[in-house]
Amino acid sequence: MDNAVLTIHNLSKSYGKIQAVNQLSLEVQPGEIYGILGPNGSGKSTTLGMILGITKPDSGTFNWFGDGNASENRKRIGTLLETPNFYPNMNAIQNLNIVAHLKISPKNDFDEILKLVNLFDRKDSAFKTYSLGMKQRLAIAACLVGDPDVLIFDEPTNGLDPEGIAEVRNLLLKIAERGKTIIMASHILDEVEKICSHVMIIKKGNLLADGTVDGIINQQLTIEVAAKDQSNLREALSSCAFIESIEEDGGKLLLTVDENYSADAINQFCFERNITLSHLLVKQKSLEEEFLERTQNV
Amino acid sequence: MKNIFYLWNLEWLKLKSYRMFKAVILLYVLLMPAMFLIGKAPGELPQDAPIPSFYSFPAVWSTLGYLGNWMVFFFFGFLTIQMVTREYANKTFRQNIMTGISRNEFVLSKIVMIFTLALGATAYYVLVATVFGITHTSYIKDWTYAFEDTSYIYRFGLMSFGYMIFAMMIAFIVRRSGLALLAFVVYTFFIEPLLRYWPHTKLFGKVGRDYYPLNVMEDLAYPEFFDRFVRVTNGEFVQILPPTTAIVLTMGYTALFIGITYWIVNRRDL
Repeated sequence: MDNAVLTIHNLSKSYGKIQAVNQLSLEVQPGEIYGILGPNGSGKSTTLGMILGITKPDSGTFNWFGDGNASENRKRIGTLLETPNFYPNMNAIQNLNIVAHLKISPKNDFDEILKLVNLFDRKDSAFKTYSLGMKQRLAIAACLVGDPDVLIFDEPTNGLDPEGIAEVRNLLLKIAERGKTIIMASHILDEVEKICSHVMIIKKGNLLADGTVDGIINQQLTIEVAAKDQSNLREALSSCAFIESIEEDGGKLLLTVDENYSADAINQFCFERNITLSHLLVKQKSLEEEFLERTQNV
Repeated sequence: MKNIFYLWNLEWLKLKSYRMFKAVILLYVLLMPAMFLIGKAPGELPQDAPIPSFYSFPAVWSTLGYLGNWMVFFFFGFLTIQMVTREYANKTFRQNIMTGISRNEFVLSKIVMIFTLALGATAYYVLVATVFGITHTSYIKDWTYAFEDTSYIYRFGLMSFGYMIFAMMIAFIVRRSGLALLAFVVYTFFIEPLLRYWPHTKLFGKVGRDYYPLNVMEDLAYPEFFDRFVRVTNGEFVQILPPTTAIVLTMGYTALFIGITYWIVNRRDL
């Protein structure tokens, strides 16, 4: 599409014998919250490094805002890649000043940004005196300088304590509400599921799946049932036309059901055969299960 | 030109609150005149000395230039190395590129600031030399005489720029501050002399032996009085390159070092 924020075409990078990224292509549209999901070492950071000009691709191209790979394009992108990188002896304001200069953003409301990330009270302290969570929040603040169209976060909650994780996550949601395009790499599925609209799954540099989060998660329902007489139940259900598979799991049966039917149909089917269910639970697959399933088979 | 000023400003934002920068400027400003005065301790020069004083015109240009040679090498050389290696240590080089400038602009911002520092170091050298010259020359018959050899000023500036560009190249290649400092000093005082007086002399004799970069830069500001003393006693040993040769070669080496820096920076991942 013409107005894509980012188009990546067949991007590859290897380190010696290790193929970090293999022929990766993707497209990010304005307003999407795009998650790049993969286990550690799957090539997420390498991919982001390439589109941000710090890692040289072996082959392939990328295109920002339909304007190629010029460094000027990065002035429109706020980036937090792996670690917060600042001048340790400078305070928050001095560091943000450098960011604003780099972004050619003459008018800035640093106070507003620092209040948003909850660092306003410490704005005059040197960066090196900050806790990890504060450093991470300053990095997010730096991403917002110059009000960029696109934000890139790589493992934004890495190394934070639970409180810090919650803080950063809420912050990301707040930013997302402003209608920015966000590209986020993570190995934490829960994070991606909660925040992202679109997702791609990569492993060992290969693209395994991409699409909307809802599309990626298999829509097929899994229904968990149990009854006093388990073998009788199993026998009855095996004759049911809309049940596609039956698996035994602990004292329960896991049923995969045709997508046009759901729990009430099962309940009725059993009731008609004089079986009363002692347990009935509808389970939708989480992104985590989907992810594990897809990445384990590679 | 707008871009040059933009890049200068970027580097200035980084330097102005940097303690090492302030320390280097302070040391240079205080120690240059102070160290020069220590030379007075042995008393007056003997009657038959080739120059009446280190401090009077025109000798002051050469002697202060030689003192400044050492100071620039250590103070500004070390500062340059820190200016570059701390960007690697703090990963701010990476971040600067991601935030929106190109690698070439990043290197240019360093070169622009180095040029400014060389200019500042030279201006202060001129100031101190002029003050010493005026206060130590009993009779100045003609002011053109005092400033007859102003090529010293250009040479001092070029030497400062050359030293710092060499330090910058080392820093971009080595990337770690301690190792880069070591490489800078060890190359200058051990490796280069070793190369010149051993393999080079064995292979080519004296031909081209003095054309190594750091020797060339050092010869831009050499104490003439010392040269004269040594020529009398052992004229063969000390060979100072003619100024023009040193100027041309330094310019060539400086351009080469800048070229190598750009090449290295554009080749590697950050």
